[in-house]
Amino acid sequence: MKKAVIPFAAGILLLNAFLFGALSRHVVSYDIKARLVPETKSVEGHEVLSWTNDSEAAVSELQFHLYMNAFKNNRTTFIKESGGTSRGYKIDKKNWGYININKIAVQEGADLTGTMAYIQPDDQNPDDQTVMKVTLPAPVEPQQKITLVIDFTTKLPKVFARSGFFGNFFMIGQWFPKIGVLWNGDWNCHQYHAYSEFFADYGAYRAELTVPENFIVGATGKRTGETKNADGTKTYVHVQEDVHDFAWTACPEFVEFREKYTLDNPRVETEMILLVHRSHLKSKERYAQALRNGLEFYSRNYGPYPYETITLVDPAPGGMGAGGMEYPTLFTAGTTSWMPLGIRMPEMVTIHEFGHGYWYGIVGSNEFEEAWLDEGINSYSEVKAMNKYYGDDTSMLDICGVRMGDLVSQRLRVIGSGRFDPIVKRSWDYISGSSYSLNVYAKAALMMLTLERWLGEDVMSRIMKTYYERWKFRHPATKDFVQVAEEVSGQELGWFFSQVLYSPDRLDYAISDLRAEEINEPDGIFEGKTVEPKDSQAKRDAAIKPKTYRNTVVVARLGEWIFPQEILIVFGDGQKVRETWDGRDRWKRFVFTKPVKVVSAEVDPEHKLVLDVNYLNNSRILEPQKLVVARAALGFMHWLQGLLSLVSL
Amino acid sequence: MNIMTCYAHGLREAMRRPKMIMLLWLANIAFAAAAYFGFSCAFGAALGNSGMTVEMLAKTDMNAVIEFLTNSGGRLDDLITMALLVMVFYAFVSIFLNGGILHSLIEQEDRKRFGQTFFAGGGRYYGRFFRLTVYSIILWAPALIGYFLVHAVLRALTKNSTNEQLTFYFSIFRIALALFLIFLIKMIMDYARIRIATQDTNKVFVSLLGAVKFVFARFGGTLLLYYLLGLTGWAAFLVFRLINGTFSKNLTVTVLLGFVLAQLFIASRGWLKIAYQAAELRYFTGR
Repeated sequence: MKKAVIPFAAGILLLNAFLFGALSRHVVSYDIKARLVPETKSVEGHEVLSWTNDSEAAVSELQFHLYMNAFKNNRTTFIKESGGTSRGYKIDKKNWGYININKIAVQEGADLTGTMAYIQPDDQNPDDQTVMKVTLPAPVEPQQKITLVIDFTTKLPKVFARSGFFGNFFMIGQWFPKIGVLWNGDWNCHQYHAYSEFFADYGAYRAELTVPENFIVGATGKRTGETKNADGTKTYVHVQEDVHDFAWTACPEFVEFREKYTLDNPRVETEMILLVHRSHLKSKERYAQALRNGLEFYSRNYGPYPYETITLVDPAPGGMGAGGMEYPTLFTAGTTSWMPLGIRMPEMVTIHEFGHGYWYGIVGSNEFEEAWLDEGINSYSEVKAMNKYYGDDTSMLDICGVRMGDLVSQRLRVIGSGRFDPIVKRSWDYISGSSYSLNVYAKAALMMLTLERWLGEDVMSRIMKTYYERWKFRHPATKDFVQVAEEVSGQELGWFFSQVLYSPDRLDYAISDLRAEEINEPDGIFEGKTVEPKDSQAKRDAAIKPKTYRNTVVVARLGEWIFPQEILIVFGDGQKVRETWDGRDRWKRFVFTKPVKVVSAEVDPEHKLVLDVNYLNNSRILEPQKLVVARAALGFMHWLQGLLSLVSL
Repeated sequence: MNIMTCYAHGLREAMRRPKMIMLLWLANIAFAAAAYFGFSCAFGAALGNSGMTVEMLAKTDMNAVIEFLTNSGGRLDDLITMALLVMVFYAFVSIFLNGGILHSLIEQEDRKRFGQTFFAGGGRYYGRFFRLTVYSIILWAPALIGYFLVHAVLRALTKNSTNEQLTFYFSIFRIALALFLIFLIKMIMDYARIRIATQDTNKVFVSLLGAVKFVFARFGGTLLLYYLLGLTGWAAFLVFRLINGTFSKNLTVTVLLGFVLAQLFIASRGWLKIAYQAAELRYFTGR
């Protein structure tokens, strides 16, 4: 019976999606009324939540994220893991943040408040209250819907990690009781960790946001209403379907800019909303252009941007702890009033955070368990977009003659790193924040770029489009990406992914030896006879005779990862020879007997393997470039001389 | 005493002492040469045989730079430690050089026997100038306390402020204040040394207090003279940067040319050092 009901009900959900134009299966529906009280830095909320049991089993317990409790005291899992700092910003112990559930009940039904209990599924930390469960009086059957009514108060912390206030700037994210994801037959409802972001089900959101009249508001979704209230406040109504979170911001010092964005191929029509703090108006056009670039790049390369709005929030000075964060159809960027044009931080953050709208927002990756599916794929996309619009060598930095591309900046994080963690790992299991960051962002991006150069740009483009199309508005896992890559490329790629995704090792191939030795005339005992070019005529003949060299190239594998290699060898007469090696052994020797000396040898000459942690040893020349060394050493000597003269002045 | 007269006198006196400039340059390069060999070995080991150096002749490849920095971390730590040690040793040597310069400037009649006068002066005042350096703690300590007090006040004013411009200007102000205090103390030390040398006194602490009194009694004049000479140094630096930027160093001859130019600039710092001492000496003695 059950088996018959499930496909039927699932079919109803899908039919609903098709009939009403929904892009996703609406597992949840939120209707929230929220009032911001700036004086107490808090939000009074009333939430009506409908949840459909999209599993095959009856559910008698519901689990909720209460993320704001991560900032409640110094013993929460978030604070313990982070030490109370995030991206260099410190918690203000005079301004803790928390969420209180005043009442939770089944709509027109039982009061569940008494059944509330905090649980700690990840680390059993009894002081962590970021996950709550309630016990239902009766189980929710498969495909049955339950509606809950929740009253809550959220006290915002002084912002240091994504959400909170600074002065009169409010960034309100992870602020309401949000139901977990019933996934693969169990609740996937993790605690708020220092090095993790989020995971939730798709649905429809409607929010009525009441703020003091002078506040400018930005929020997920489209604004459908705006009412002035008698008490000097204003209520804004925002609605959005096919998203899995809702965030908003309010500040009287925002300046709002709206711009229609259209693209013909593929067809995109959306409204860009920029909320720029008064102090940063100089950056407005930089933000706007970067956002246009992002919309074009992601729409063309992955799929058309599907929502009617996209809101960029520029955090107030001092509130940068809220910067660089993504929410559905809304993201925070970041700049300063003195940001030089050549430092592309506002552009990079804008493109990166907008891009999350695709790999976290539209493709609903589980950032707790496989963060690379969002952060890594998005960093890869960011490198490509930044390079396209701002130049390969100048996409991050182009100031006073110092230039750096985004790819180099990603490599910088990886090449000097330790070998503690792989790319795929639960976010809270990494040895440190930097290990999490370099693996799920930079190393994963380099993996994607290596894969692209390995398979070819065209194949990679098809992989990305297929992956996006197949998994948009769904929850993929790593195996799903691998499956798409293998299917589209027509290649077995297990050897690639098993090394790069699951092993903490490194890729490092080198030319470990390069030499050219002259092959001399016979001298010694050959077949029992002593041969000795004694007479002067023989010596003269040998001098006239063209010389022959034994040219030796040794390629070595210094890292653990095994990749097939191409080696380019250049000889004195300009001849170029390409050799291949399966890269399995620790080293391989290539010998060439030629009338000219070898000049240079280079492994991976096209730099396909951007994961290689040392480019310097990839190539070797027979005659060392002493001039470069001397120039660099003299430069440093002069720098020291300058310091000495300052010491003595 | 007219500041411009002192300034011109300082420049003129420095110009008339090529041997002293040469000696100061030699002292500088002797210490820095140790670093050259260290750097050269490190660069040679990391870059020497790599094919990336061929491209680096034409342009700076950030890949190569970051790879050198990250893959040579331990070696770089050693080099930076060595550079710091060299600076510490050079600070001791510069106490000697200060004595030599001042003695030569005071004992004008012995200019023909430059070496003898210079080294005699260096030795003669070394102990006193060293003590002076130790006593200067009475200037550094209050300056540091004052700086941190101002820092704390400015920080409190901007702690919850969303006025980024104000925060930015305060940062600039803090840097300017720090530099001002450093230069002020260095200037007082100059006058303290001059007082010790001209009066040939062993009362080092009294001389330091006398220098403080002298500077604050003629605050505008001493500052103006100090910053005029400082600006002269900056002008020399700009000229060096301008000329140095006109050619790329991708040939042996241009690398050599760059080296010579850099050494001329370092020599100009020696010249500036003498100019400082001569101008301040003139201002202090009034003749």
